[in-house]
Amino acid sequence: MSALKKTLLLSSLTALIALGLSCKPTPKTEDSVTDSKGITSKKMVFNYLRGTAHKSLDPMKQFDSASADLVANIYDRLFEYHYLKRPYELSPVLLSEMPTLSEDGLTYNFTLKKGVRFIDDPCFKGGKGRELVTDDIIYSIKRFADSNVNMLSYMLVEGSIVGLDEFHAETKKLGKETNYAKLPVAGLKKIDDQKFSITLTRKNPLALLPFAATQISIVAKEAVDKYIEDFERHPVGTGPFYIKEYSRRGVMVLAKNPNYHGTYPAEGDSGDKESGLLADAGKKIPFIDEIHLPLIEEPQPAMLKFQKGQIDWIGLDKDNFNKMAYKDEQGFHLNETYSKKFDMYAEMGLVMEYLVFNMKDPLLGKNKALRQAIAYALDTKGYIEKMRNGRGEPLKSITPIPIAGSQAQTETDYYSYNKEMALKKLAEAGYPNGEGLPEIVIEYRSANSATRQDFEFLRNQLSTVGITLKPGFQTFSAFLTKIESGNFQMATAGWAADYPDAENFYQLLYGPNSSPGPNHSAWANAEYDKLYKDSKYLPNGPERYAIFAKMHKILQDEVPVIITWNPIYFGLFQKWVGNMKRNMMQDAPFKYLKIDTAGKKKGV
Amino acid sequence: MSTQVANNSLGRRALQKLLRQKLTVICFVVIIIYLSIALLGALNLLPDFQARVGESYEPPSLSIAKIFGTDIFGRSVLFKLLAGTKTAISIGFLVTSIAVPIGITLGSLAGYYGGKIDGFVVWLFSVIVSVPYLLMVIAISYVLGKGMLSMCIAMGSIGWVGLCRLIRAEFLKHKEREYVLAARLLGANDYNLIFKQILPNVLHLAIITASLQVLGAIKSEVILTYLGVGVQDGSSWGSMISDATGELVNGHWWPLAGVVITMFFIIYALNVVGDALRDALDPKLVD
Repeated sequence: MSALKKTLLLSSLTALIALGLSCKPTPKTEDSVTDSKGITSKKMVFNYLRGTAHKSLDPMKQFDSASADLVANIYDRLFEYHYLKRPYELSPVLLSEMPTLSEDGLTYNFTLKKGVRFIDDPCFKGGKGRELVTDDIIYSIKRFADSNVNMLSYMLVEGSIVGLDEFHAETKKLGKETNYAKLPVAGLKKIDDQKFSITLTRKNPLALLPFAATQISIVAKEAVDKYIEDFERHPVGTGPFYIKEYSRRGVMVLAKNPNYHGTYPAEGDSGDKESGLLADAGKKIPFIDEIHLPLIEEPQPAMLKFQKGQIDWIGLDKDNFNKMAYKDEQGFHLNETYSKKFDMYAEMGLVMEYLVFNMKDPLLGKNKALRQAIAYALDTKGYIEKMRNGRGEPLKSITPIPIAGSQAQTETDYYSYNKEMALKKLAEAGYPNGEGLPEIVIEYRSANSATRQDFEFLRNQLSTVGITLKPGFQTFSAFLTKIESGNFQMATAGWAADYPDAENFYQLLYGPNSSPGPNHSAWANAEYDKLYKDSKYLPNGPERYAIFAKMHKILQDEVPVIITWNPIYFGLFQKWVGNMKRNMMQDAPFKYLKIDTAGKKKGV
Repeated sequence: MSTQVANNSLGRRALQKLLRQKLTVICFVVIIIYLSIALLGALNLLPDFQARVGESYEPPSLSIAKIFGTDIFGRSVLFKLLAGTKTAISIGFLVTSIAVPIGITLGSLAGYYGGKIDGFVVWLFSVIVSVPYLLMVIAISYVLGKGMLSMCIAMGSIGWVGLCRLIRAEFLKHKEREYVLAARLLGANDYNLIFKQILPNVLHLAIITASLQVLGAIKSEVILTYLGVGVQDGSSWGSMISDATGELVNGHWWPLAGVVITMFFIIYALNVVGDALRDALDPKLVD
């Protein structure tokens, strides 16, 4: 055989092997499921994505949204925000009903729902998940307050439950020697296996809200003790799904918990019935058999997959919004090509974007007129139109518009672009037309293209009145270090609601909350602080709103921050996805969603 | 003395050889044009890239400012490219001017003296090359603080390794050659032997490496800025490419096209000139 023939033969064999390998079928998951009654049906698989990898699946150790989305589907909390009703209100998850409040307004009495079971796991006797009892709730709250476990989110309940702050301090002292059994918390009382009570330090209409946070999810002591450090990769919950395949940077697969206790909401908002959102009222959830969550960090590949029907739901980023949607007087719409294929939602976020001044900065901190000049020089409306495709609303109060106590109730006003006033204030500040004013450095938490463009816009704006800005593009951790150490002049910031109450936003400027708390401006104003304390424990209503209006006036005059805008979030979902209603307090409500499998197969 | 004569003759012949190649001459001209743009930028004689020349995302047209269209703020893409050229060329030459002297000095000392000095230099560059280049540059940039200067220092403090290894190897060969032994017998000291006898005979390697170093630094700046750790303020090709990721989706192709064309010419020219220099200066390849 000649060398040429040998080479040809070898090449052909290699090509055949390569072809064979490339044609190897991808691992196929079963495409049908059989329920407990023996009925076989098409498996309902929901394809979504993770934009960033999660940090931890230990509820008490996580504080990032990627982890929270997974934790919310694996574990349960005592409450969640009602999936359909607006404004957002609490609804019980692990409780048979909403807790009752004692006459003195200090003690809540809870009753657990019967028949709630943890998922089967070797950590339990015989590997069979046991029933949830009161001890699990008390253990989980204590674990949340354990400073050796939770270093990120204790402030959610700080000062609100009798004895819990002392417990928190004690765990800090004891370290690894902490033994929950030896550290009772006076405000947490077990009545029996189904009933317990929580006693508050004072009357507080917001006291129950933290129990809807994923950080206070209910965990089983057996699982924590068995898996120890590995517990954050081996979650054992009572939630609607469990982890079938764990892959932090690959495809995470969640499978339905067949014994889940929940049902679809029986009530909704006006219009929900007409739009079919109550068709499954009272039915057992979840409907979906499996959720596939690949990690796709770049928006373009994710959007391509969505357009091919390989992803069922996706957020619509700025660049794709330009291409796929438009805004007119009636609102936001998908282009004709896309509206035939997909559905879109537009929901105002519970987020407030703002700029922070460091009040300890010798230039900005001591010159109120200069801060006011900058506030007048900003064209927030123009920014939203130009840089955000109109996907937001300028804010006239520190509270996002959908939350009670926002500008809709307080009827407050705020700075808007006014070049004349900006120049007047600059002159008042001692820098007529910006003459003699040094460069001001503004810190950003990333250096991506969108951030750079945001900076360019801001620089152009301020340069029209003679203010020169310089950027400090930081990594997120470097940004936090700078901000928390007070080593900055100006910084961009945003705050998403931990719970849908205006207090969560007004606390951003409360004096004692200075860094490392969220008041990064280090601004302190005795009158504001007093008003904040007065408003904190008041129920929503005219009295509270009047206090908010007074606080707003102080903020407007002092300008420790410049409140800018409230973003509107957009998303697209496939026509075969059912029960979709964007809930800004539940980013991953998979348990309520369903898939029209026949429609999906047909592609409609 | 005879070595100097040989070198002059080699230099002359190399120059003649280079000038005979039309493509190399054209590429030289291209490099000179880019250098001139950078020089004009340094003297603040380039048009202001921040100035608005039209509407947002105007496609290319025949007006000079809009020959590559406009960006989101209506600024001229051409003016941004010119400002980016200044950034890229400045970085290219700054990095080279840091890396080449370090590479030559350490390589010469290690190759000539051997022993512990050689051991230390080999250990040092082995440690540096054991960490991926970009990761190392990013790490140093973070330590020094972001910005153009720290990026140049980071790239320069790593970029000497390749040249150092070459020079060291050449010194190991040359230090046993007859002309070095003869000079030593005639009483030449170490300084004389290193810098006056051996170095002129291996300097062509430094010239070739320097031309490639400029190229590497320009590419690294683009990558680092794209990743968000490079140039913080001002125009950069990297930030323009980064912006283009979103612009392309909406059919705004011209900013990216402008960067690609601008980068292509300088990278191609530096490659051609680097190759031509290697061919011309390598004594083994000289006619």
